[in-house]
Amino acid sequence: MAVALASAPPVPSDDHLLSRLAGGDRQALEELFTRYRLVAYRVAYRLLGNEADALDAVQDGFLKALTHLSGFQGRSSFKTWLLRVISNAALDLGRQRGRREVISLDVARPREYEGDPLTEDNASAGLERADLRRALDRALALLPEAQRRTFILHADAELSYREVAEVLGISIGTVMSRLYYARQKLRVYLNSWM
Amino acid sequence: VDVIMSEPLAEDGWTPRPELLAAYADGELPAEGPQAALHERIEAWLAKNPEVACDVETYRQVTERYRATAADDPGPAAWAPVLARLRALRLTPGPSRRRWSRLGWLGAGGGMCAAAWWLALTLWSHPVPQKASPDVPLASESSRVVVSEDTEPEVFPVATAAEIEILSVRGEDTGSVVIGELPVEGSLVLLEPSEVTLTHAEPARDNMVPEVRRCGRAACIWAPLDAEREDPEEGNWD
Repeated sequence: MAVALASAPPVPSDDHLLSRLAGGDRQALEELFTRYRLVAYRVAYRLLGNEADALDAVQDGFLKALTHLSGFQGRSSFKTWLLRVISNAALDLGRQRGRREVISLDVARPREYEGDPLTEDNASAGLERADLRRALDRALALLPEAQRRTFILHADAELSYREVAEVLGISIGTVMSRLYYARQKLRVYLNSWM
Repeated sequence: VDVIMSEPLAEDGWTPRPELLAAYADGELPAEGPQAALHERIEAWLAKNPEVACDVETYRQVTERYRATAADDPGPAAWAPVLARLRALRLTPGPSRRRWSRLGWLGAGGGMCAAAWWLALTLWSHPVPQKASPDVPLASESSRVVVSEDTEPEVFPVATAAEIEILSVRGEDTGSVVIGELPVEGSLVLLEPSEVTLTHAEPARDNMVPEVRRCGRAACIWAPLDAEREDPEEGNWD
């Protein structure tokens, strides 16, 4: 019996999706959104400290990015450009609303471990993770905004030093310095966790 | 990275800066590629300094533990209204990747010269009357806006500062560059050109306002781009 193996379709590049989007292809918009919504959300969440504000920031950021696509000329990656817009939107929102205290419900209710049965070990790990997240969020809030933003872009968005420098429009030396000092402070705050 | 992380490799008393060790811990100095020599040298140095090697390992752990607490995906129900809002968006024309070639610039310049020449010829052959009509004062005579009675004044839409967000600034569009972070908080401190020495500026990038360094307590300063052209080398704001 002959079996035809269907190979997975190639993942379209950002440039390809942007070209399709420029041609009015709405599906490309959704693919770009699906591709980057989680990383955008994680950055916004760390900057704002709660889910509702983070979702608002992601929405604002995507709206701004998509309505100003003509400003993106491909000299940096779409991801770094988008994350700059998203983080700006998050910081603007935070200034408007005031960075709320971390919503304890968000922290105390670890949502996922998808697919894993709820065992005692998992529950314990979830609580530990929630406590650690709470401690980290407090520690992050104590960092100067520039250090916090730099560290979040590196650690949450997993951007390289060069990409962080591109997003923030600063030198790589400044990125190195900010990351070092941010981590030094976090290390002190998290001493009991290390 | 290449400039910042290039370190002298010769002397025996070499000690890597802590920022460099943090970069090493972050994997920014891979064992292969242009940073291979520095990677190898740091590894050799760490082998001789195990107490610092523990610190480097702690850097890794801080990032690792931090990443373990990343926010979870809020789920399809949370994304649905966001996606609906994006779907309702009227898209603007897409990005234009085409850049003007040198020939294009020459053509445009030639066209402008021709237009200027034609305008000069027209003005020479049909000089503008020296005296204006009594109903319409010359701009130099009065700064008042004169609106004739039978025409409705044109209303220009005005946006407040809060309604404007600058996403990109191009050198050719402005005579100044923003230094610092917007929005400005508190009083705006301005410096005289003689008080500022621009010794370093990052190249312009997509929609990225060049940021140098904060100048003391100054929230934001505007510096003429000419200063940037005078001395583009690395340095500090004073």
